[in-house]
Amino acid sequence: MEKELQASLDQKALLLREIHHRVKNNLQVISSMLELQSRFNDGKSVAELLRDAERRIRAMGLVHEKLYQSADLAGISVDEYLQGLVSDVFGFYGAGESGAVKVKMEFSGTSFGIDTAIPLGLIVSELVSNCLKHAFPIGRKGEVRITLCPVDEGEFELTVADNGIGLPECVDFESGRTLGLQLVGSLAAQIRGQIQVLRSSGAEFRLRFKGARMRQRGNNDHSTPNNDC
Amino acid sequence: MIVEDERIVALNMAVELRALGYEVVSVESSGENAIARARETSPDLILMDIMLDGEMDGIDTAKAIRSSSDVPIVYLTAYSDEKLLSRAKESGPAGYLLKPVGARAVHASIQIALYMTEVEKRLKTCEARGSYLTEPPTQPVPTHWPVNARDLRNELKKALMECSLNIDFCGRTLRDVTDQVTRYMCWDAIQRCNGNKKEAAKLLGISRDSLYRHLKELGVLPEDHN
Repeated sequence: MEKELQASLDQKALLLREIHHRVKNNLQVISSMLELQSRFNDGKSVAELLRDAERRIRAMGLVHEKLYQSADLAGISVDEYLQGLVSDVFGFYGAGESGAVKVKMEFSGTSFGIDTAIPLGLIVSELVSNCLKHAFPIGRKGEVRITLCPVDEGEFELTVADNGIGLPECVDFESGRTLGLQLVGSLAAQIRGQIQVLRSSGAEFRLRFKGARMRQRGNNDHSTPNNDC
Repeated sequence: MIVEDERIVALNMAVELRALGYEVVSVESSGENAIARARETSPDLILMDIMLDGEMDGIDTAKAIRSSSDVPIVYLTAYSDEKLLSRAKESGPAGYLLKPVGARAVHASIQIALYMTEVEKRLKTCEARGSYLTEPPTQPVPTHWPVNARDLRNELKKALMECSLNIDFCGRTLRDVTDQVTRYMCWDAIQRCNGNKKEAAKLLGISRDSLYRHLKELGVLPEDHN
């Protein structure tokens, strides 16, 4: 009995450290995104840059909100998360209010750990906001379609497509001038994903990636994050 | 080369380093990939996070890489407990920076690590040949440090001040490090001036007496001077 209690306490201590680690990681990611933004400002106003930053932080925050509401701490329902996230991005840009741009979502009841959910959410946030900012110049009607479905053992495909004015000739995820696309490229690599860009009618991004439930970090002792940070 | 499992953190680091003039040959998130890429690309230096994707952590990865290469490795991590530090030391790192860390401190640490690696390599070569002062350097030291010794020492002091709270010299004191750099600077200057100590002192921006004092203190006094 005492052993079981001790094991339970140890488990709780481990989880607590894990949470601290993740909070610290997330803050570090936010700090890195802000630093990147200050470098890739692309002539945007401070207000625009702050709004982009706010949207990204909201995408990360929403994962934790869903996790907090979830009975299963190892994974969150990606369907619910992405639905909430896309609605949030639409609301954020005031899109959909006039009814000019509609959204269509199709998901297949998937659940991922936060190591997959956060990069995935940030990718969706970037791609959807890109659609809303560039694909539909004032007055143009259209649709944004977001789907996520399993395609193979442990592999999934995310599609973000629109029927707007289409993409510029060159879309560069590695050294492009826009921070959004570089973030998408880096985050796709984080979840071991491959991106395909299609230009059939408007723009279509397909991301094939490996989805995973929450993993416990490291077998070695990484138990003491630097407390000065 | 950057080894870091958070891709956005790595992207930011790569952008900062490129802006400082470095070439980032590869960004890897797992130890296994880092070992393979280090072999392929032979980087001049590796910035290594400790917590990584995959089975290996940064310390095991560093040990594996250093078993077949002299590439300097600077750890860049959020962890600083004693157990981890002593494991990290075993891998012979060139530095240990605690996150969060600014681009200038990373830059300073990289410069010191590259410089020290070059100094050690040259001293080793000269020691193996039995003399500090008979073998001229084949190439200049690849560094952005100023040639003038006084400026160099000032730069070094500034850099050390900036990152002294975050850096670990793996058992060496700051004095050891600056002495070693000074010793090499004096030796290098004399070689560049074909043994002419007056010219060497001029090149270093110090007086001849100061040069002799340094050489005496550092045990590299030329044979013809007592």
